[in-house]
Order: sequence, then C-alpha cells, then structure tokens
Amino acid sequence: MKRTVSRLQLREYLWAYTFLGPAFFFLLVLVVFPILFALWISLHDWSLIPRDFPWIGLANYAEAIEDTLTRKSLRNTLAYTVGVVPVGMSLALVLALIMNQDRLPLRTALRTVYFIPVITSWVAVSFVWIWMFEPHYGLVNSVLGFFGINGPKWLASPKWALAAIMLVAIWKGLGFSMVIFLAGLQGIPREFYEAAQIDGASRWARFQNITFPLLNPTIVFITVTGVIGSLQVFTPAVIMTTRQGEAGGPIDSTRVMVYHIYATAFRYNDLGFGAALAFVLFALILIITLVQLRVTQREFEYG
Amino acid sequence: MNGNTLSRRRFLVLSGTMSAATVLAACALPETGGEGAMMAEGVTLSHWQHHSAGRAAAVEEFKSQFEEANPDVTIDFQSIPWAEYWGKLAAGIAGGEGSAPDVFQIPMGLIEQYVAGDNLLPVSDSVITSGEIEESYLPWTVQRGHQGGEYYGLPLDVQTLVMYRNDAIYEEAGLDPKAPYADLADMYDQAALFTRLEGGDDDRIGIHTGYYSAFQTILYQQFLQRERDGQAWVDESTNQLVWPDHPEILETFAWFCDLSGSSDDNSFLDGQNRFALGRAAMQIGHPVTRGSLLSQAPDLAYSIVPFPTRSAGQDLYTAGSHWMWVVGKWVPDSEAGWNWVHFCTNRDAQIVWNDVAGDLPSFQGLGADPRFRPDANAEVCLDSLDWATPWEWVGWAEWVKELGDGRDRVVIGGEDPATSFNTMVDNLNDVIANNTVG
Repeated sequence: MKRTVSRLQLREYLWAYTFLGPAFFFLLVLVVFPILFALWISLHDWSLIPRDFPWIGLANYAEAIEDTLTRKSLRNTLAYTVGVVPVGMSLALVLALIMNQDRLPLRTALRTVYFIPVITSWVAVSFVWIWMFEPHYGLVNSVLGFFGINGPKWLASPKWALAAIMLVAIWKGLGFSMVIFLAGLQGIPREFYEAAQIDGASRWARFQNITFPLLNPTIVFITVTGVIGSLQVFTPAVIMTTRQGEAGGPIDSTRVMVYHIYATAFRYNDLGFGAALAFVLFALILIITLVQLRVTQREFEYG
Repeated sequence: MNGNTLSRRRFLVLSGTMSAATVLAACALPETGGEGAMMAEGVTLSHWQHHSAGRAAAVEEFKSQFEEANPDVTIDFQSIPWAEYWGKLAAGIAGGEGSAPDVFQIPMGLIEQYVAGDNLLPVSDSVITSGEIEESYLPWTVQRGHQGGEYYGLPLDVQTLVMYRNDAIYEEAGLDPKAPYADLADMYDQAALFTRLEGGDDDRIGIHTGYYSAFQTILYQQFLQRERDGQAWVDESTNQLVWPDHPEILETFAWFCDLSGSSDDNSFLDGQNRFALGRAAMQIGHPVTRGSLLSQAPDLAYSIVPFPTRSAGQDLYTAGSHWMWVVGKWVPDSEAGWNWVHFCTNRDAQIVWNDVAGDLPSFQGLGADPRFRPDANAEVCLDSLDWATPWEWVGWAEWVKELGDGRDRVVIGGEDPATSFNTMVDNLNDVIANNTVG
C-alpha cells in the first residue's frame, strides 16, 4: 500500500515538473541567466563595442561610489521618489475618500476621468506637458500669470525641471492609486462605521481609528509599488528633457538612475560600468523595500 | 467514460508532449544566411543600418540591382529603428558568426574602436585599392577610416556645418539673407540685432545655439585648423586635449557662452524647433536639415551661408562628419561584402543618396555636378565640402553631453567660464581615455 502511494506521488511529481518545465526553462534563459550574465559583465571593463574585456573585479562598483554623476543621479532619483510617492498617495487617498461617497453626483464618470491619465501613453503625456510647461506661451504659466504669479522656467531651469516631472508623475499616477484605495475602502465592513456613529465618533475619529488602520495593507501595497516604480523612473525624465539627443538636463538636474544606466551602457558604450550601476540600483531598491515592509506592515484583524 | 472523452492520463501525455515540443521549437535556430545558405544558394550577406524611410527605399533599390548583377549573392537587408540599432548591433557582434551583420554602418568617430576590437575587415584590394580610394573619395571623408595603413570603411551620409537664416527676418531688418558674414563678430552683432524677447506674441531669438556640441566643435577646430596650422585636438603623447595650451580656445568658449546667453534663451519655446517655427533668425545646421525643414515648415523661406571666419579675410572653414559602411570579420565572403559596399557608395549611388536623403557626396568631383546644385542653398552646402576637416571627437555621445553641460553651467548656472571650461576639459579627457583602445 505504501509503495503504491509513493509511485503515485512520483508520477505526480513527474507531471508537475513536466508542466513546470517550459516556464522554468524560459525563466532560466530569459531572467536568471541575463541577471547572472549582467553580474559577470559588471566585473569586467566591458565595452559595448566588442574587444577584449579584462577582469577588473569590483572596480566598477568602486567607481560608482566615487562618481559624481552617479551620486547626482541617485540624489535626483531619491528626491523624485520622496516627492512623488507621499504626495501622490495622500492626494489619491483624499480623492478616493471623496469618490467613495454614495451620494456624490456623477461618481462613476469622475472615477473614469481620473483614471484616463493612467491608461494614456507616457510618451504622449510627456510631449503634451512639454508644451504646457513652456515658460513663455505654455498653459501652466498662463494660468499662474492669471493669478499674478510669475511662473518659473520649468524644464529649462535646473531648480524646477525635476519638480515639473514630479508634477506630471503625480497627476498621471493619481487615478491608479485612487482605484486601489477605493478597493481598500470598500473592503472595510460598514458595521464598524455604524457602531462608531452610534458611539458618537466624529468623522475624523472614524477616519483615524477605523479607515486609516484598516487601509494599512493598501497603503503598504501602494507605498512599496510606488517607491519601486519611482526609483525606476525613466520615460518622462527622458522624453521631457531630451535636447539634441541628450537627456537629464539642464546641468544633470533631471538625470535619474535608470537613464544614467542606459546612457552609460548604450550611449557611452561602457557596458561594464552600466551593469554595475544596475546592481547598485537593485541593491538600493531591495534595501528600501525591506525597510518599508518592516516599518509599514501592521498586524490587524477585523473582529 | 465516453469514448470521445479524453482520459486524464491521455490528456496529461498529450499536454506534456506538446510542452516539450514547444520548448524544442523555441530553442531551434532559424536558418537565415550563414554557411548553410551559402552552400545551397551562394552567398547571403546580412546588412544592417538604422532606419530612415528614404534611405531604406534606396537600399532596397540597390539590393535589387546588385542581386540582378550578382545572382549568386543575396542581400538580407534590415532597416532597424534608431533606438534599437546600437543594442542590436552590439548584441549581434558579441554573438559573432551567425548573429553579427556582415555589412553595417557606424559613425566615423567609432571606427577606431571597432578596428581596435578586431571586428572589421579592411577594404578588399580586389574591389578597390587604397590608391583608388584616395583618388575617388574626398580625403577628409576617408581619413578616419584609415587605420594601420589600411582602409576599413567607405563613407556615406556626409554632412558639413552651415548657417541657416530666416529670409523674412533679415529682409525686415533691411539685410540681405544671402550675404555671407564678414566674421564671427558680424554674426554676433546680427544675432543681437534680431533678438526680441519682450514677452510678446512675436518674440524671437537672434540665433538658435541649441546644437551646442556642433557650435563649439566648429569654433575650436576652426581656430586650430586656420590659426595653429591644423593642430589636432588630442596630443598624441599625452592623449589629452591641447585646448588648455591655447588661451584663444577658452576665450572662444566664453564668447560662445556670451552669444548663447544674450541672443538665445533656452527656455524660449523649449524643446521646439524654433527656426522651423520662424522664431529664430539663424541657426547652425547640416545640409540634411533642409529635408527636415521641408517636412516641418514647407513654406519657410531661408538662405544658407557658410559659417563665418574668426577674422575677416580668413579662409572659410567647416567641420565635416559622415558615417562609414563597414564589413564585419564574420562575413562569409569578404569580396562579396566589399563589392556590395562599393556598389552602394560609388559615384552613381551617391546621386541616389542625394536625391533620397539630401546627403552630400563623398566622391571627388561630384560636388561640381549640376544635379547636386539645384539652387543657391545647395551651392553653399556643396562648396563647404572643400573647406571641411572631420570632427575630432574620440567617442561619440559623451561629447554632446560635456559640450552642452559646459555651456549650461555658465549660461544657466552662472558659473565662471574658466571654471566651467576646465571642468569640461577634465571630463572630456576622461572620455578620450575611456574611448582609446590599445
């Protein structure tokens, strides 16, 4: 009897691995192997133009630590993340709370409107915003001028260019975070609010003691995915700042890590250093994500 | 169990077999070109270039003519979007035989590195000898492909730098848009005269200096070519820029920053083609810019004049650039490869390139051909070939960044020109070191 069960199990394992095989094969070839190969490249003086690639150990990583352009790219990326994620998340939460009101007129239409930027191409959005941020004739400064504010030079100014990209990113990501928050809000049992209301809790008290704690998994999800996405920002930073083929200006004020990696590897032909930079970014994302999970995750129960 | 129903066991066997077959099919290499194709059908040459509609159509036309004249050769042509070209080329060459293209194009500034990496074959003497290359092509267009006594590429997509002027703005100021500049100071004065940045709807800049890298390249090379007897940018013994040895270059840099800061405003219509919009009185550009102006601003009337000399009465100067068509070392038949390159770069082909893309000819004597000179603007472009020397960048894209950043630090960041210049030189020396092989 015992022997029969083992054979059955063996067959099941066999079939399981037969089905897992193709996916595992592609995972190995298309994901695991390129990652390991990139690590190998990062340990060499590897040019995009083929030649001899001498082994240089950790020299590319040492250079990454010392390189001022890399440090500036990291600073810009972190500033972008710190600006986009908390502000975007707070606005999305406010918006979701408004959109969650049963008696809000045109609720579905408004939700759709806020979601439209999410499904619009980053490239198209970036080009439109370049025009809107044009300092002399653009819509943004025209509106500011209407209120007597002399608008900045936005993308042409090292002080404002990154802020302009952050504004666009917040606007574009608002709808996505709003929908996730809405799902989270709708998962909170109504009985809690009814009980709190009977006990005389104010709106703020209900938000503080029911809504916010029970939204914790949603907040963790949006924070973690938002931070990872922001640390990997590329398209708007490149499209909105490319002048004569070079992005990240003016004066490297919008140079972000992923563009720095791309430019190093594929524009300046230094694949070894570019690969090392990719692992530096990977390490940064991993550390920040682990810290976030540790700090933000809270045990809770509905009962 | 119904007879038509698939049993669980049979379903699992079939599914497993199909999965395995899928994996094997995915692993199978497609049979394109390579030795197998050569043995069965003669030689197949893969040819890659970055895409442009006109140029792709021209290559297709050359391909049919070449294959008709050489029935044993097949050209496997791929026109690859610009954004993917470099990654695909690098991956292809890294893969070597079977994945690398047999014939491809590279900008002239990268040929030294491709040769040093032993990726290219020299031009086959049986197709065209070194002597014939020197007799046929303009010397400066083959200069950078000459490595270790051999030629490694034939030039195409030849461009110089010329000045574009908006006719209407010039005429409004009572100036003749076709009259050449007296010197650099004259260009500076005209730019100042035309600049109108008052916050109105008809604002404009006097000169679009946004092609910072080209502007500075021509200015520094002009000085060294015309006033320092053709002194090269890079000192061979130190492998560093000679610019700091010549105070005039720092002065020229400061002059350029002043021009760019006073008669240009990078925030004005930021990211737009201001000359095509009629909002810039002049700009530096390549002859091929005529094509983009034709599509973006077909009604814009403009004139082309030579880049001004530093001082009145000096010989004219311009910086020239081009791409090289090269043959990879994996080519199944080098003679066939070079025959194909020669076919696409010979005298007749260059007339086609001019028609489809506005490329200047690299072939000697063709500049005088009336087919290349349909109007006064074309005359200036063609004449400029006679006073060009190649850009001296070692490497490529890094120069765009460093020359642009040098200007931005001064004009936008308010840094002292000398400090910014020194940073720029230090960074460019690193670029030169990183791009020097061997």
